[in-house]
Amino acid sequence: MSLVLLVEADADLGDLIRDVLEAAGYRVDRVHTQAGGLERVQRLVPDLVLLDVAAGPGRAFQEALRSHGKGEIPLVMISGDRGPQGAARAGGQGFLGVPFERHALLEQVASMISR
Amino acid sequence: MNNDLDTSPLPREIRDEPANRAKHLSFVAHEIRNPLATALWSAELLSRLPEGERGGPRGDKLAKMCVRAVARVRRLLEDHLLAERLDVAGVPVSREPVAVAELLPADAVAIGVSALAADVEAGLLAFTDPQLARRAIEALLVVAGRGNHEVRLAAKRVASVARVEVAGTPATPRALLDRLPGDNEELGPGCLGLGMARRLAAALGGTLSVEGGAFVLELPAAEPGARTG
Repeated sequence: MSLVLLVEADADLGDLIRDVLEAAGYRVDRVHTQAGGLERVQRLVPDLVLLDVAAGPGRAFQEALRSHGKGEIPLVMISGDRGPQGAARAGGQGFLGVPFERHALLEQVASMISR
Repeated sequence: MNNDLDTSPLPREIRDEPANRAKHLSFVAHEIRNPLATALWSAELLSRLPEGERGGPRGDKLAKMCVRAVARVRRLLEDHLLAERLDVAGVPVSREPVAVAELLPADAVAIGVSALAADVEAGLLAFTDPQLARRAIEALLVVAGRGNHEVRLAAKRVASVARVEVAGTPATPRALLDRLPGDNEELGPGCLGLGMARRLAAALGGTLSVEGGAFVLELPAAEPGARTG
Protein backbone atom coordinates (compact mmCIF):
# COMPACT_ATOMS: atom_id res chain seq x y z
CA MET A 1 0.00 0.00 0.00
CA SER A 2 1.55 3.31 -1.10
CA LEU A 3 2.24 6.00 1.46
CA VAL A 4 1.35 9.63 0.71
CA LEU A 5 2.72 12.41 2.88
CA LEU A 6 0.16 15.23 2.85
CA VAL A 7 1.35 18.67 3.93
CA GLU A 8 -1.79 20.81 3.95
CA ALA A 9 -2.26 23.95 6.03
CA ASP A 10 -6.04 24.07 5.64
CA ALA A 11 -7.51 21.74 8.26
CA ASP A 12 -10.80 20.89 6.55
CA LEU A 13 -9.36 20.53 3.05
CA GLY A 14 -6.59 18.35 4.44
CA ASP A 15 -9.16 16.11 6.13
CA LEU A 16 -11.06 15.69 2.88
CA ILE A 17 -7.98 14.93 0.79
CA ARG A 18 -6.90 12.36 3.35
CA ASP A 19 -10.34 10.74 3.37
CA VAL A 20 -10.46 10.50 -0.42
CA LEU A 21 -6.98 8.99 -0.65
CA GLU A 22 -7.62 6.50 2.15
CA ALA A 23 -10.88 5.46 0.51
CA ALA A 24 -8.85 4.81 -2.65
CA GLY A 25 -6.49 2.52 -0.77
CA TYR A 26 -3.56 4.79 0.06
CA ARG A 27 -1.98 5.25 3.44
CA VAL A 28 -1.83 8.93 4.33
CA ASP A 29 0.42 10.67 6.80
CA ARG A 30 -0.95 14.16 7.22
CA VAL A 31 0.78 17.23 8.71
CA HIS A 32 -0.12 20.92 8.68
CA THR A 33 3.25 22.59 8.22
CA GLN A 34 6.31 22.19 6.06
CA ALA A 35 8.41 21.80 9.20
CA GLY A 36 6.18 18.92 10.22
CA GLY A 37 6.58 17.39 6.77
CA LEU A 38 10.36 17.63 6.93
CA GLU A 39 10.33 15.99 10.33
CA ARG A 40 8.30 13.12 8.85
CA VAL A 41 10.56 12.49 5.88
CA GLN A 42 13.49 11.99 8.19
CA ARG A 43 11.70 8.93 9.58
CA LEU A 44 9.54 7.78 6.68
CA VAL A 45 9.96 7.19 2.98
CA PRO A 46 6.70 8.27 1.41
CA ASP A 47 5.98 7.31 -2.18
CA LEU A 48 4.70 10.80 -2.85
CA VAL A 49 4.49 14.19 -1.13
CA LEU A 50 1.47 16.44 -1.64
CA LEU A 51 2.54 19.92 -0.58
CA ASP A 52 0.24 22.89 -0.13
CA VAL A 53 2.19 25.96 -1.23
CA ALA A 54 0.67 27.86 1.68
CA ALA A 55 2.53 25.49 4.00
CA GLY A 56 5.91 26.65 2.66
CA PRO A 57 8.03 26.99 -0.47
CA GLY A 58 8.29 23.81 -2.52
CA ARG A 59 11.86 24.48 -3.62
CA ALA A 60 13.05 24.50 -0.01
CA PHE A 61 11.14 21.32 0.70
CA GLN A 62 12.62 19.60 -2.34
CA GLU A 63 16.13 20.65 -1.33
CA ALA A 64 15.49 19.27 2.14
CA LEU A 65 14.38 15.96 0.62
CA ARG A 66 17.62 15.82 -1.36
CA SER A 67 19.69 16.61 1.71
CA HIS A 68 18.10 13.59 3.40
CA GLY A 69 18.92 11.41 0.38
CA LYS A 70 15.26 11.28 -0.65
CA GLY A 71 15.35 13.53 -3.66
CA GLU A 72 13.68 10.90 -5.82
CA ILE A 73 10.37 11.23 -3.94
CA PRO A 74 7.92 12.96 -6.29
CA LEU A 75 6.47 16.25 -5.09
CA VAL A 76 3.03 17.48 -6.14
CA MET A 77 2.21 21.08 -5.38
CA ILE A 78 -1.29 22.09 -4.29
CA SER A 79 -2.01 25.73 -5.02
CA GLY A 80 -4.95 28.08 -5.25
CA ASP A 81 -3.11 30.76 -7.15
CA ARG A 82 -0.36 29.22 -9.27
CA GLY A 83 -0.57 27.35 -12.53
CA PRO A 84 1.50 24.28 -13.43
CA GLN A 85 4.43 26.43 -14.55
CA GLY A 86 4.45 28.31 -11.27
CA ALA A 87 4.34 25.01 -9.41
CA ALA A 88 7.25 23.69 -11.48
CA ARG A 89 9.26 26.80 -10.66
CA ALA A 90 8.41 26.24 -7.01
CA GLY A 91 9.95 22.78 -7.21
CA GLY A 92 7.03 20.44 -7.89
CA GLN A 93 6.93 17.67 -10.48
CA GLY A 94 3.16 17.69 -10.39
CA PHE A 95 0.45 20.26 -9.75
CA LEU A 96 -3.10 20.38 -8.46
CA GLY A 97 -4.91 23.71 -8.77
CA VAL A 98 -7.45 24.31 -6.03
CA PRO A 99 -10.35 23.68 -6.37
CA PHE A 100 -9.61 20.36 -8.08
CA GLU A 101 -11.87 17.41 -8.73
CA ARG A 102 -11.51 14.14 -6.82
CA HIS A 103 -10.64 12.25 -9.97
CA ALA A 104 -7.89 14.80 -10.75
CA LEU A 105 -6.35 14.13 -7.34
CA LEU A 106 -6.53 10.37 -7.75
CA GLU A 107 -5.17 10.47 -11.30
CA GLN A 108 -2.30 12.74 -10.32
CA VAL A 109 -1.37 10.61 -7.32
CA ALA A 110 -1.55 7.33 -9.27
CA SER A 111 0.43 8.78 -12.14
CA MET A 112 3.22 10.18 -9.97
CA ILE A 113 3.57 7.04 -7.85
CA SER A 114 3.75 4.74 -10.89
CA ARG A 115 6.59 6.74 -12.46
CA MET B 1 3.00 36.34 18.87
CA ASN B 2 5.53 35.28 16.27
CA ASN B 3 8.73 37.21 16.93
CA ASP B 4 9.84 36.67 13.33
CA LEU B 5 7.11 38.90 12.00
CA ASP B 6 8.24 41.89 10.02
CA THR B 7 7.04 44.95 11.88
CA SER B 8 8.90 47.55 9.83
CA PRO B 9 6.73 50.23 8.24
CA LEU B 10 5.70 49.74 4.65
CA PRO B 11 3.98 52.69 3.02
CA ARG B 12 0.60 51.82 1.64
CA GLU B 13 1.47 53.26 -1.76
CA ILE B 14 4.14 50.58 -2.22
CA ARG B 15 1.52 47.90 -1.72
CA ASP B 16 -0.77 49.67 -4.17
CA GLU B 17 1.68 49.48 -7.07
CA PRO B 18 0.30 47.36 -9.97
CA ALA B 19 2.74 44.49 -9.37
CA ASN B 20 1.73 44.25 -5.74
CA ARG B 21 -1.91 44.65 -6.66
CA ALA B 22 -1.58 41.56 -8.85
CA LYS B 23 0.09 39.71 -6.00
CA HIS B 24 -2.69 40.72 -3.64
CA LEU B 25 -5.32 39.40 -6.04
CA SER B 26 -3.32 36.18 -6.22
CA PHE B 27 -3.50 35.98 -2.44
CA VAL B 28 -7.25 36.63 -2.54
CA ALA B 29 -7.73 33.86 -5.11
CA HIS B 30 -5.78 31.40 -3.01
CA GLU B 31 -7.69 32.30 0.15
CA ILE B 32 -11.05 31.88 -1.53
CA ARG B 33 -10.29 28.71 -3.48
CA ASN B 34 -9.28 26.66 -0.45
CA PRO B 35 -12.64 26.86 1.36
CA LEU B 36 -14.39 26.70 -2.00
CA ALA B 37 -12.71 23.37 -2.63
CA THR B 38 -13.69 22.21 0.84
CA ALA B 39 -17.31 23.21 0.22
CA LEU B 40 -17.43 21.43 -3.13
CA TRP B 41 -15.78 18.24 -1.88
CA SER B 42 -17.75 17.99 1.33
CA ALA B 43 -21.03 18.52 -0.54
CA GLU B 44 -20.06 15.92 -3.13
CA LEU B 45 -19.01 13.37 -0.52
CA LEU B 46 -22.19 14.05 1.43
CA SER B 47 -24.26 13.39 -1.66
CA ARG B 48 -22.42 10.10 -2.20
CA LEU B 49 -23.12 8.81 1.29
CA PRO B 50 -25.78 6.11 1.51
CA GLU B 51 -29.03 7.70 2.65
CA GLY B 52 -28.91 5.98 6.00
CA GLU B 53 -25.48 7.44 6.80
CA ARG B 54 -26.23 11.08 5.97
CA GLY B 55 -27.71 11.67 9.41
CA GLY B 56 -24.87 9.82 11.13
CA PRO B 57 -21.51 11.10 12.44
CA ARG B 58 -19.84 11.06 9.00
CA GLY B 59 -22.70 12.95 7.40
CA ASP B 60 -22.81 15.40 10.28
CA LYS B 61 -19.09 16.07 9.99
CA LEU B 62 -19.31 16.68 6.24
CA ALA B 63 -22.35 18.92 6.58
CA LYS B 64 -20.67 21.07 9.25
CA MET B 65 -17.51 21.21 7.17
CA CYS B 66 -19.50 22.40 4.17
CA VAL B 67 -21.35 25.09 6.12
CA ARG B 68 -18.10 26.29 7.69
CA ALA B 69 -16.42 26.49 4.30
CA VAL B 70 -19.28 28.35 2.65
CA ALA B 71 -19.37 30.83 5.55
CA ARG B 72 -15.65 31.39 5.12
CA VAL B 73 -16.00 31.96 1.38
CA ARG B 74 -18.81 34.39 2.06
CA ARG B 75 -16.75 36.39 4.55
CA LEU B 76 -13.73 36.54 2.25
CA LEU B 77 -15.81 37.56 -0.75
CA GLU B 78 -17.81 40.19 1.10
CA ASP B 79 -14.71 41.71 2.66
CA HIS B 80 -12.86 41.76 -0.64
CA LEU B 81 -15.75 43.12 -2.66
CA LEU B 82 -16.50 45.90 -0.18
CA ALA B 83 -12.83 46.89 -0.21
CA GLU B 84 -12.92 47.01 -4.00
CA ARG B 85 -16.05 49.15 -4.00
CA LEU B 86 -14.58 51.50 -1.44
CA ASP B 87 -11.51 51.93 -3.65
CA VAL B 88 -13.66 53.39 -6.39
CA ALA B 89 -15.88 55.37 -4.01
CA GLY B 90 -18.72 53.05 -4.95
CA VAL B 91 -20.33 52.84 -1.54
CA PRO B 92 -22.79 55.49 -0.33
CA VAL B 93 -21.77 56.72 3.12
CA SER B 94 -24.31 58.29 5.46
CA ARG B 95 -23.50 60.22 8.63
CA GLU B 96 -25.64 60.32 11.72
CA PRO B 97 -25.14 60.30 15.49
CA VAL B 98 -24.91 56.67 16.56
CA ALA B 99 -24.38 55.18 20.01
CA VAL B 100 -21.07 53.33 19.85
CA ALA B 101 -22.55 50.61 22.05
CA GLU B 102 -24.98 49.87 19.22
CA LEU B 103 -22.13 49.26 16.80
CA LEU B 104 -21.07 46.11 18.64
CA PRO B 105 -22.35 42.73 17.44
CA ALA B 106 -25.33 41.38 19.34
CA ASP B 107 -23.82 37.90 19.27
CA ALA B 108 -20.03 37.78 19.21
CA VAL B 109 -19.99 33.98 19.05
CA ALA B 110 -21.95 34.10 15.80
CA ILE B 111 -19.07 35.94 14.11
CA GLY B 112 -16.47 33.54 15.51
CA VAL B 113 -15.40 35.49 18.60
CA SER B 114 -15.52 33.08 21.51
CA ALA B 115 -15.29 35.68 24.30
CA LEU B 116 -15.82 39.43 24.13
CA ALA B 117 -15.48 41.86 27.04
CA ALA B 118 -16.71 45.34 26.11
CA ASP B 119 -16.28 48.58 28.04
CA VAL B 120 -17.97 51.47 26.26
CA GLU B 121 -18.09 54.93 27.84
CA ALA B 122 -21.66 55.78 28.75
CA GLY B 123 -23.40 57.96 26.20
CA LEU B 124 -20.55 57.80 23.69
CA LEU B 125 -21.75 58.82 20.23
CA ALA B 126 -20.02 58.60 16.88
CA PHE B 127 -21.02 60.63 13.85
CA THR B 128 -20.92 57.82 11.33
CA ASP B 129 -22.64 55.38 9.04
CA PRO B 130 -23.88 52.69 11.43
CA GLN B 131 -23.90 49.83 8.93
CA LEU B 132 -20.39 50.49 7.67
CA ALA B 133 -19.01 51.19 11.14
CA ARG B 134 -20.43 47.85 12.32
CA ARG B 135 -18.66 46.09 9.44
CA ALA B 136 -15.36 47.71 10.41
CA ILE B 137 -15.66 46.82 14.09
CA GLU B 138 -16.75 43.28 13.27
CA ALA B 139 -13.70 42.82 11.06
CA LEU B 140 -11.42 43.92 13.89
CA LEU B 141 -13.14 41.61 16.37
CA VAL B 142 -12.85 38.62 14.04
CA VAL B 143 -9.11 39.06 13.56
CA ALA B 144 -8.45 39.90 17.21
CA GLY B 145 -10.40 36.81 18.22
CA ARG B 146 -8.55 34.38 15.99
CA GLY B 147 -7.21 31.34 17.77
CA ASN B 148 -10.09 31.55 20.28
CA HIS B 149 -8.37 34.49 21.95
CA GLU B 150 -10.51 36.56 24.31
CA VAL B 151 -11.19 40.01 22.86
CA ARG B 152 -11.36 43.21 24.90
CA LEU B 153 -13.06 46.23 23.37
CA ALA B 154 -12.75 49.64 25.03
CA ALA B 155 -14.39 52.77 23.63
CA LYS B 156 -14.20 56.34 24.89
CA ARG B 157 -14.25 59.89 23.66
CA VAL B 158 -10.86 61.55 23.14
CA ALA B 159 -11.15 65.20 22.05
CA SER B 160 -13.27 65.13 18.89
CA VAL B 161 -13.07 61.42 18.16
CA ALA B 162 -14.70 58.25 19.40
CA ARG B 163 -11.77 55.91 20.00
CA VAL B 164 -12.46 52.19 19.83
CA GLU B 165 -9.62 49.91 20.91
CA VAL B 166 -9.83 46.20 20.15
CA ALA B 167 -7.27 43.92 21.79
CA GLY B 168 -6.92 40.17 21.40
CA THR B 169 -4.35 38.12 19.54
CA PRO B 170 -1.67 40.77 18.91
CA ALA B 171 -1.27 42.21 15.42
CA THR B 172 1.38 44.30 13.69
CA PRO B 173 0.78 47.49 11.67
CA ARG B 174 1.50 45.46 8.52
CA ALA B 175 -1.65 43.47 9.15
CA LEU B 176 -3.64 46.49 7.95
CA LEU B 177 -2.04 46.44 4.51
CA ASP B 178 -3.37 44.42 1.62
CA ARG B 179 -2.13 40.87 2.01
CA LEU B 180 0.49 39.43 -0.32
CA PRO B 181 1.58 35.81 -0.82
CA GLY B 182 4.29 35.02 1.69
CA ASP B 183 3.04 37.38 4.39
CA ASN B 184 3.79 35.38 7.48
CA GLU B 185 1.37 36.97 9.93
CA GLU B 186 -1.48 34.50 10.32
CA LEU B 187 -4.74 36.45 10.39
CA GLY B 188 -7.23 33.62 10.05
CA PRO B 189 -10.51 33.72 8.14
CA GLY B 190 -10.79 37.49 8.57
CA CYS B 191 -7.54 38.09 6.69
CA LEU B 192 -9.18 40.27 4.03
CA GLY B 193 -11.25 42.18 6.57
CA LEU B 194 -8.48 44.43 7.81
CA GLY B 195 -7.84 45.97 4.39
CA MET B 196 -11.57 46.55 4.17
CA ALA B 197 -11.70 48.05 7.67
CA ARG B 198 -8.83 50.39 6.85
CA ARG B 199 -10.72 51.66 3.81
CA LEU B 200 -13.94 51.91 5.82
CA ALA B 201 -12.24 54.00 8.48
CA ALA B 202 -11.03 56.42 5.82
CA ALA B 203 -14.45 56.55 4.12
CA LEU B 204 -16.02 57.34 7.49
CA GLY B 205 -13.62 60.21 8.10
CA GLY B 206 -11.60 58.30 10.67
CA THR B 207 -8.44 56.25 10.98
CA LEU B 208 -7.41 52.68 11.74
CA SER B 209 -4.06 51.86 13.28
CA VAL B 210 -2.31 49.28 15.43
CA GLU B 211 -0.93 50.33 18.80
CA GLY B 212 0.80 47.84 21.03
CA GLY B 213 -0.68 44.93 19.10
CA ALA B 214 -4.25 46.27 19.45
CA PHE B 215 -6.43 47.77 16.74
CA VAL B 216 -7.43 51.40 17.24
CA LEU B 217 -10.36 52.71 15.24
CA GLU B 218 -11.04 56.42 15.55
CA LEU B 219 -14.29 57.82 14.22
CA PRO B 220 -15.61 61.37 14.37
CA ALA B 221 -17.51 61.82 17.64
CA ALA B 222 -20.97 63.33 17.82
CA GLU B 223 -21.79 65.79 20.56
CA PRO B 224 -23.69 64.41 23.54
CA GLY B 225 -27.37 65.01 22.98
CA ALA B 226 -26.97 65.10 19.20
CA ARG B 227 -29.05 61.99 18.91
CA THR B 228 -32.76 62.64 19.02
CA GLY B 229 -34.13 59.25 17.96
